[in-house]
Amino acid sequence: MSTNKFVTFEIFRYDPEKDKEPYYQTYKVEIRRPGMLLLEGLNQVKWELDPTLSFRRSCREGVCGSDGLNVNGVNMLSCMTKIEDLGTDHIVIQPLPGMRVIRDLVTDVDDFFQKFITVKPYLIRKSPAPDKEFYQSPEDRKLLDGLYECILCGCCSSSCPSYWADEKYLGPNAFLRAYRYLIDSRDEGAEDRLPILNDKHGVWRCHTIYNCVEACPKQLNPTKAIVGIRRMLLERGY
Amino acid sequence: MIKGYKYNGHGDSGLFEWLLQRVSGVILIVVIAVHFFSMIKSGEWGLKSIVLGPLFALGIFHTLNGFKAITDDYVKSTIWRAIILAIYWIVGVTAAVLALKVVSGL
Amino acid sequence: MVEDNELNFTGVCKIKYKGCKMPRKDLVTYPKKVSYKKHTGMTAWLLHRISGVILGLYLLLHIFGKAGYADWFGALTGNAIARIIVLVAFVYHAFNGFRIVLIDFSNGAEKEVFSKQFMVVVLLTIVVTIIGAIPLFS
Ligand code: HEM
Ligand code: SF4
Ligand code: SF4
Ligand code: FES
Repeated sequence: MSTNKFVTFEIFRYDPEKDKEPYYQTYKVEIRRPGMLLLEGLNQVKWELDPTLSFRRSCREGVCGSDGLNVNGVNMLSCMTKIEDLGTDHIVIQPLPGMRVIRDLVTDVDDFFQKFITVKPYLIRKSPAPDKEFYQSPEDRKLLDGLYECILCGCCSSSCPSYWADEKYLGPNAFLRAYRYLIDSRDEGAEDRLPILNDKHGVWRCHTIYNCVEACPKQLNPTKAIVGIRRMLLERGY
Repeated sequence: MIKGYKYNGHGDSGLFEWLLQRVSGVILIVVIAVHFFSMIKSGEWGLKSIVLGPLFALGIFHTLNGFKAITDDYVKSTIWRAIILAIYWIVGVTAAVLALKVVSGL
Repeated sequence: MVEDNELNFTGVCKIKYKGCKMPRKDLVTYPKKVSYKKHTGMTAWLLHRISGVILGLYLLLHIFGKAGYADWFGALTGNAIARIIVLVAFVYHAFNGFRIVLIDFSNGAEKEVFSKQFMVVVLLTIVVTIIGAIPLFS
């Protein structure tokens, strides 16, 4: 892609204090370097074209999980997406679906975080603590790969048709996080967590659609975690 | 303030329906295939009660449980859901009675 | 505290955001320029739903018809197009359902393979539908 090329951003706009209805605004964004990121484009809009545009970002390197967005119909992080990889010059940017819009691209993630907290995402110990450390063998540690990397960006839950349909559905992120502790050799909280997941708004509501897997910017696999949790529930006779 | 929601995992957690949807599905593959391919020939195997029994019983459950899953996804109002669920039950029981009639009339 | 009628239903909260009690389900409906992309899994699921409904209606009406009610049903399903639709729906639903069951019970939810699994389902559906259709029309 040569420099001095322009692409159009069509961005969802809504300011509850001014606007009656949401609308879409179009900006021309200059491609200033090969491999330019979507976030650089958004910054260009905010800093040079229209300071009223609101969006979240912080780390700009895929670590903080603030900038999950719906880009041309797919959820992704703007800081991990190259504009050229989108394969089109017309880019429609919308807030994450299935969440309240606070303003422009900023969504309310309260509900998402509360569901995350609901599954007790921390080590639970019942037996007395050992003298030194909680030892975990390298093999057991390996089981957590593909589970602990989650940055809570919300792309997965927000992409899920069951999450859209059912307000109370815990969602793929909560399941992935729960599973991360369920299979941790140091954790003893399975009896606390499994009854929460064994719910009609819990793991049984997933239709194995894989939208969450497609959306996750960290290449994690919530569906696999869901299958694992169901297996645990069945094996333990819930 | 972030605090957890209350999920308890109750009697109608959906585990049983989920499992039975899968078990009935797999059995239905066999019995429907037998029924279908035999009916376009002689119909000798397709009307045996070992085929028709599971077909009707599991088929009615699988269908209406599937319809319920769809209702739960698209119908938001609790009242409408209850009404529709009641209709499914009525249809299901009626179909089961008629199915018995069909089998016994053979 | 915010009353419900102060809120609009286009998907965002009309008043100042603080304290909004709008249920989330009503908020997803703002006009979307682009709807969510139909990934393979989503397509497979929608087809599973549609085929499930077709089969379900067929089964129920088939029972009612054979028991002597819903007579019109026999005439309706006697025609070739209707038979083919039900056959395709059944074969697809069966193979795709089996795919889902396999994922659930063999821990097979791998990102790399599931598009391939779906292609196998489509292929098997085509082949078995043709095999099933031959005796239907001969
Ligand atoms: C032939 C073997 C069959 C298999 C292996 C099978 C398998 C399945 C499975 C695994 C599901 C659950 C999908 C989910 O949780 O999202 C399902 C859903 C469903 N099935 Fe079947 N099924 C079969 C036959 C049938 C038949 C004969 C009917 C109708 C008479 C039917 C109607 C439905 C319906 C309406 C749904 C709900 C769809 C949804 O929830 O999206 N199925 N099937
Ligand atoms: S696989 Fe399950 S959790 Fe993931 S998007 Fe699909 S329905 Fe949602
Ligand atoms: S699982 Fe992936 S998509 Fe979901 S919150 Fe974590 S990093 Fe984001
Ligand atoms: S800005 Fe932190 S993840 Fe994108």
